[in-house]
Amino acid sequence: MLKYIGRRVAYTLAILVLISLVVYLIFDVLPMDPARLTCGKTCRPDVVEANRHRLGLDVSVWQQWWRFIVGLFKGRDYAEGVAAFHCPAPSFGYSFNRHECVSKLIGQAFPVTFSLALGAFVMWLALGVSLGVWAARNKGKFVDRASTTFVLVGTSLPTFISGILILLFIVVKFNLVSPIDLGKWHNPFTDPFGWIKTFFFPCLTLALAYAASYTRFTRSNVIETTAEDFIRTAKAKGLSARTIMRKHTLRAALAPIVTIAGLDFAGLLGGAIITEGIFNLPGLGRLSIRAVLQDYDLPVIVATTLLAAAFVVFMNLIVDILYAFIDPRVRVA
Amino acid sequence: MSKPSEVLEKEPTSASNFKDQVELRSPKQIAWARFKRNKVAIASGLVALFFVACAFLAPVICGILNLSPTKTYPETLDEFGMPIGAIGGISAAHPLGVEPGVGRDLLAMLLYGSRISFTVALVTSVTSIGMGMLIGIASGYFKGKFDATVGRFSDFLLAFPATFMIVALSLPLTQRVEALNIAKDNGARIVVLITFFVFFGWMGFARLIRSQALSMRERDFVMAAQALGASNWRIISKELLPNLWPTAIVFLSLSLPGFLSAESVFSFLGVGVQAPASTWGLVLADAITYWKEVPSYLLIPSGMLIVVVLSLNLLGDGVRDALDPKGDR
Repeated sequence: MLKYIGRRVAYTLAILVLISLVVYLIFDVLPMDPARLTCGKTCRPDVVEANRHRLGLDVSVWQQWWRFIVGLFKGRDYAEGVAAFHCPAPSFGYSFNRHECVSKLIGQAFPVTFSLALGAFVMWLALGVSLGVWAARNKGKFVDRASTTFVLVGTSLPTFISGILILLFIVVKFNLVSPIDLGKWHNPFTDPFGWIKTFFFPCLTLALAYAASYTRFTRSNVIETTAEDFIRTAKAKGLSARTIMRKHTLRAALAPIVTIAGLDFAGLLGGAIITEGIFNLPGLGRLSIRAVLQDYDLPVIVATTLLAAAFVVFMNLIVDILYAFIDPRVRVA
Repeated sequence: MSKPSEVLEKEPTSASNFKDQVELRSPKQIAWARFKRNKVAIASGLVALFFVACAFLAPVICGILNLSPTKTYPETLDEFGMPIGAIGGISAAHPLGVEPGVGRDLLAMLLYGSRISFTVALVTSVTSIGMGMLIGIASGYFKGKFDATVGRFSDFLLAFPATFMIVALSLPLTQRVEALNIAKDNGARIVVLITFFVFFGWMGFARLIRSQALSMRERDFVMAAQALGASNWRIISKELLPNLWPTAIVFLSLSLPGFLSAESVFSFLGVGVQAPASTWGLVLADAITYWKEVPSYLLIPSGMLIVVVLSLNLLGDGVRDALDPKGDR
């Protein structure tokens, strides 16, 4: 078991190093000059060069990458003399356009994205799994057909449309959240009501799309498992329908959902660009898309991209390890 | 499948009325018959076909109605730039109303916009499925080192945040495409978008095909072909491919709506096609500003997108059920 985990951790680290390197190389070959973008159109060449040096862009891409990696663990110093400043570890670089350490920007945006992802995750799991199980137990009946309709509509409704419709025709129309409060960050520990107010509808938007596919997945898995021999055995033993469902069917049917749910959650942690944009939430997705569309703030773009990749890779690792506990066959392979 | 019928035609004596009792049909005929019975699939297929035909015939339709997607009709707007008349200025001249602020015809905008969306969706789906097919067959059939390398590479790509990469790289890459003189403006943006979608979109299908090819290469008919000395190319093209086509068709019809809405998402976000073109995503992004004054401007394009994606999804489900060999059980 330890050997398996060790191997997975090593593989994960290798992938992370590779991804960060590839991202650095990609942005290096692009026709964008981040130093040129630090000051306006009437910028003097010597200012550009000075900024290039201050940003640490005057060395090779390998060195830039190495400095980034070192900065993650040790923090980083920029410029010299009176203009010197320090970004403490973990340093993701320095945004020249915002005059802010990127880690600080990420630190502000992450709680928003995390709240959104977590809220949506809980909603779609609760809704999708219970509806899927309910439909599977009443296969062919009204509930089942209703859930099929829900699945179809949910999977066909792009998030940006459902988001707009929910925002405009429910939230704004009935004045459920005042426009000033929309997208405002409330600390869930000191102001739980404000937090729910901000996040309920964005989470619902995200959850709707995911819940549909989870309903479909749960339903077909439960139906398939019900036909297995071990369920027949359990019935023959005289177990109650309830016990069979709880202890045998659901356990087997829901195991694959661990994988998908983990990866979907990780994908959202990197930022739900569309939902954050529509509901004006200052999360990671909006941070990155603003960095691209407004001023091409490269340090922010690189940092958010790498962070999103890291979430996916780490969650992959966690899912793999969890799976080794759930399903002993995995350890051998 | 043609063999049993030949045998029967040559030897009608022993079972002269056998053919009347059991209808002999090719898998294609069986699938088609099953599809025809599925009324929902037929209806949604017709709806999807209608939208595709409209997109294809956009110049003709606009010619008949005397409309243009770029021409403005200032006489239809009041002094505040809002359309005159009920429901977004719907009239005989402008069947879906006009765009607030600028005054272009909404029908013409949506028709020409759908051409872009459909083209992107179709080209992306076909290319990524072709790529997935090629790579999937190669790694499933040849196994070994190639398979391991491809597997690691697709693991790596799957960990990559595709949406972020598209957002972050579309701008500089569009400039690069323009600099290389491949295409200009929106043409360049479409090229970049399709390339990205394909680059991050082939892995799922390749894995599916790989697993099928992996199991198929151990089956008797492939071993028989190998024993007869057939070349790898012959086995792949004559034995494997015909068995993998149904999977590809199902995957195609199910991935079309996905790429269709992906295209509108990116133009909605401002990293895809841009004005003066008018994809559905762009219209929707603009419509948010006017949702209170001109709700129809928002509801018509969103309704259209939902109907198209829904009908394509239903069509895909129908195709899958029709091609499923267990379908009649």
